[in-house]
Amino acid sequence: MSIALTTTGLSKNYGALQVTRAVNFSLPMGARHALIGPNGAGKTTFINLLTGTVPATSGSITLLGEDITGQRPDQRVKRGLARTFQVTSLFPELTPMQSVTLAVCERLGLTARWYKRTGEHRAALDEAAEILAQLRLGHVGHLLTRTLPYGQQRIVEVAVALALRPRVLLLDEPAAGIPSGESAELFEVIAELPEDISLLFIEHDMHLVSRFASRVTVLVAGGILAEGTPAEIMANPEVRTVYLGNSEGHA
Amino acid sequence: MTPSCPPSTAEAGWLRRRGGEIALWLAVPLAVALFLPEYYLLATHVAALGLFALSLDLLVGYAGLLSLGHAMFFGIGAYTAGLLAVHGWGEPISGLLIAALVAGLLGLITSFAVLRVQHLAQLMVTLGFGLLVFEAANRARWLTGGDDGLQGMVVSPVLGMFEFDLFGQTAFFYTFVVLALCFIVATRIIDSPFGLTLEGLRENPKRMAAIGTPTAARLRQAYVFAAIFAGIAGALMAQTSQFVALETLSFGLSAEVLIMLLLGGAGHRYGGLVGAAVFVIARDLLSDLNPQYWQFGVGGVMVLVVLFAPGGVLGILRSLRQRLMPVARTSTTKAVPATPATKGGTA
Repeated sequence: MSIALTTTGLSKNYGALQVTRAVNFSLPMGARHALIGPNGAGKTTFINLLTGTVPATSGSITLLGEDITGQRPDQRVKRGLARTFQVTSLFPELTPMQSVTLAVCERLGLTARWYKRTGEHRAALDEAAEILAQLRLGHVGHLLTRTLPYGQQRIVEVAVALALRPRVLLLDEPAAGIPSGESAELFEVIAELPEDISLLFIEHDMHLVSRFASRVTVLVAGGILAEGTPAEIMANPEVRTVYLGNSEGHA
Repeated sequence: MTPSCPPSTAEAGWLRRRGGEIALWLAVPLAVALFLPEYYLLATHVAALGLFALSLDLLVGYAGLLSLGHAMFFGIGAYTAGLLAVHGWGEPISGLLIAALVAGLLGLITSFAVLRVQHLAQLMVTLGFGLLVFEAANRARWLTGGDDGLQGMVVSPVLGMFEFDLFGQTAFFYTFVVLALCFIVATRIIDSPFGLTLEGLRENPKRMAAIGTPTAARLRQAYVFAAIFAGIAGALMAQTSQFVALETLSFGLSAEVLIMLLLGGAGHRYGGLVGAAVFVIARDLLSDLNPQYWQFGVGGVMVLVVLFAPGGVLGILRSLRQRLMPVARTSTTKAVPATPATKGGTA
């Protein structure tokens, strides 16, 4: 199976504090891979390292065979790496339609163009409308994002990322902050994403993880504790110890 | 699923959306010419300062940048056009273009420092550049006339036909036409993918980087556009008054143009124009009442606007419209139709 994303000895230090410890990780093409771990395990830092918002102290990141360790976040996006944020990070005064159109325009290299109205770029608009419809947001596409219920805003997060046609999509707790009933709905949407997109998502709810992920990596104190299928991970005594909260110095 | 409107429908839609606006642009100069010819000078000031405020709106209202040194570009445009006219290049339109080029170049150079920082630091950097250029012009008395201003401009007739007259008629129509052309370009910028990108940068720069936008490059582009428009506005002011005061580069003017924009409403295409009109007319009326203390009145209005109508005059109009038509909760940006399936064009 070919590999979409790998990290080799990826580390991040803040002074003496090591928040990511020599992580060797591989994400196969088309994977549905969950990243779990207790609070403070360094899951979001790991995502930030992958996307380039936080520079790595050492180690390397390879995306689709290309070393992207030294690249800026926007350059990594152009090479097929997209993300969503743990805390919703959208454009409150734009509509979902505008937000997704913006992402499509960026992908198509149109955002420096000032001499033609956005409305004249029909292909971009059509594609944005199609993505919204696919994620069941078509009926709210014209409302200001800030007026949408939080659950829908989380789906807009995914829509904006999808508009970039990523090869690898990193979802940082996509269901964070929404009621459990709605989170299942969100994951239904995620489950329907095209199979050629490799997914890595952070999630705390093990029921959702076992339902939607084929493999799971457990991160503890910045390092990989275990990796396997959801069933293997749930049966792993070390992981159970960490999650029961009686481990020493890991939480 | 996409709707393609037949061209005739699209054209009809465009006319419906823009018809009133075009009528307004034709009515204003006509009304000034027919009913208020004694106010040509005032109307010329409003038009030039309106363009200046519009240029600042691209930065403040759309891209979310801050500036307390925008007069630098206005002043450099004014001095460029002025120096050209003093030294024998009196042709006004090429003078405007050269002024735009020089202001744009200054915008490009300063943008590297201005865009390195944000918030308060950005205000300070723009203020610092403004003060530097002001003092440089003050010191270069041999070139600029220092605090006596630049005198001796000889501006040729517009298009070789329309001589600048004592009543200010040519000056007004010339300024108004240039304003209209710049407004069309600014509207195109705002409605374009680039304009949408600026709004995205104002709303959430972190997310823009996460969708792959080279944020610094886009902001630099906006900064240069704003500098160009400000330079044209300054050049217009110089050519129509045939004099350049050192104050065109002053911090006071940078603050005034910000006041104009906030009065009218930042982030509205017409915010700068409305703000400039309100400001210049209020200054005129208040200085008639009391020539020494007119700023007291302007200051009072400013405090009231910021406290009770932060969206400015156009913000008040917008909230009135939303109260009358509560459905209108969509963004004011009409460049992207709400949903292509329901609307076929753009505003």
